[in-house]
Amino acid sequence: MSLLEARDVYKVYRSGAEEVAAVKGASLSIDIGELALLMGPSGSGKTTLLSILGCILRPDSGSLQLAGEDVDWRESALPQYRRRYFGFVYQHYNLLSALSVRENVMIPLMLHGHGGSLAEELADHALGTVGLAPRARYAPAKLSGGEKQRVAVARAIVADPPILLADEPTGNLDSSNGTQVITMLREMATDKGKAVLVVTHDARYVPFADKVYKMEDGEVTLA
Amino acid sequence: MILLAWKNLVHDRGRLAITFVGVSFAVVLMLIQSGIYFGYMNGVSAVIDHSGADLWICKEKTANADTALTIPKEEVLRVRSTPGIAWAEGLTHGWASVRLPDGTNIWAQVIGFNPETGFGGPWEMVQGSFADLRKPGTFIVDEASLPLMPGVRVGDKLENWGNKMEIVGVSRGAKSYNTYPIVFTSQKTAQAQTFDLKDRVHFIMAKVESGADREATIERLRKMRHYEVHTRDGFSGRVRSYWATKTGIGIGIGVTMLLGFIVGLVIVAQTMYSATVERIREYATLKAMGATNWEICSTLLIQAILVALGGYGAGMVLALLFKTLPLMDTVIAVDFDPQLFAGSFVATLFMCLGASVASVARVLRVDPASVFRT
Repeated sequence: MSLLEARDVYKVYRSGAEEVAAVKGASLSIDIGELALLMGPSGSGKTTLLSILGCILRPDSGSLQLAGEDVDWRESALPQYRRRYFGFVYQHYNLLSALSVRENVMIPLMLHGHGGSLAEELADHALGTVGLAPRARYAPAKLSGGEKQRVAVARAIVADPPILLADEPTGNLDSSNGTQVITMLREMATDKGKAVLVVTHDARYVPFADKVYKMEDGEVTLA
Repeated sequence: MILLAWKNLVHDRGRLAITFVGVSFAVVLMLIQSGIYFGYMNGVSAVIDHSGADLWICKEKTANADTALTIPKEEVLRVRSTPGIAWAEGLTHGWASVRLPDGTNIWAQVIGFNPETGFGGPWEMVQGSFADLRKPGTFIVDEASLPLMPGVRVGDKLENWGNKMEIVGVSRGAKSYNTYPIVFTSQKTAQAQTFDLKDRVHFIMAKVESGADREATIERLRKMRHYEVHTRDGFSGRVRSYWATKTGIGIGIGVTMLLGFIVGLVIVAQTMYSATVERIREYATLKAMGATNWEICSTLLIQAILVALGGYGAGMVLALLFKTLPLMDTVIAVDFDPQLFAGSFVATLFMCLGASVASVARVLRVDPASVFRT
């Protein structure tokens, strides 16, 4: 069974009389323990599709199943899907500047209602997984780009979500740090059984993937 | 979310300091102004409130002590003989032209009471006793009025329209509600040394006998034509209301308090909103991670409450320090009471929560999908 399965998803942006179809009948699936790449040029609709797959953006039509369950697209239901199923990794890290590294990693746990020493313990464990336990008390501003992205990975995995969605996670990193991050995501799929979808346009990471989807002009094909 | 609210708040200390200054400024202004207002209002009705009388009788349409018409002294006897009345005493409120030791002349309010009973007289003595007023030509000056009568001490012999005016004591608590000092004397001296008071009084104070039907007693007194009968609290309220509404004091102080509130509101709203806009991507990130609108808004509301608590605490300390300045609480009466502190805290809370409305509206509009955009 696929952990994530999108079927015939459409999304059109309207601005006055103008309509732009960002996603045209996209279908894709990711299984447990699988790492998939979604590749395509800028403006092809990757980010829009990622937002739909992450239950952040409602599609105009089509369906999305998470662990075999159809997503209920009511606004009030969406935050629950995001908490329960997803860990996100962004190109720009999106760490909260006022919080320490450990506190940033604790956020998903706090959203699940866990706080205090248990949350600290789990956060430190996640930081240990990405090799950043010694940086737990640092402010994000004191970290390098590669370290920030590893913190973002720790934050994505700390609440043990079954699906990881990464948007250009290596886009701001040099080759060495980029490889380190993609390797981590690969391990999350292989060792932890996560379903991982990475949006990238860097072909160097194709060897890390179990499958590659290509997106062009809103249409998705399996390469 | 409390952690995030706190961390966001203290992360930019400069901005936090500005926010606290804004709230504290508003709190100080609201507390001092309302303290002055209540101090003033307590001053205008102090003699009434501390008289010990249940009832105050005056000429009809008397709005305040300064404009009371006089009553023949025989009316005191009439009230005293009314069934249900335990005692009745006259009280005068006149004016003296006092020549100070340095030769300057000032006007003083002279309250004439019966020193045998003390009703309507000073209720707390710092020096001397009101029994000393049995001697003609003697006066007690209130402590709060001493700065208005420079150089005056107990034992001084001053002059009032050519009459001897000997200071025999100092009272406490009768704060002047205008620029004229308050002095107490016996009715006899008052009638001898102030105009138009021969055998006349301004007010009759009366006590209802214990066990007597209070309402029936009041009704009996109300049969006196051209007089008004008030309960002590009713008359106190009437005098306060006069000064609050018929003069510019209520509006003036109210406007200043409102300005303080608005200045605080604007400063807090501006600093909170700019901080929110700076962190808007972080709020979008939280939404993308599954935080609900309520959870995100609660961080802003918690910040508003923390700002209100911190700003109020600092403002309250400053206001209390302000009260200790020389001349405060003597010439200018500043009365703080627990209700005032509670009321101003609620106002501060509303101010800060109101100031967070724009930030909350901004956060509610943020699109979680924006985190994927550069």
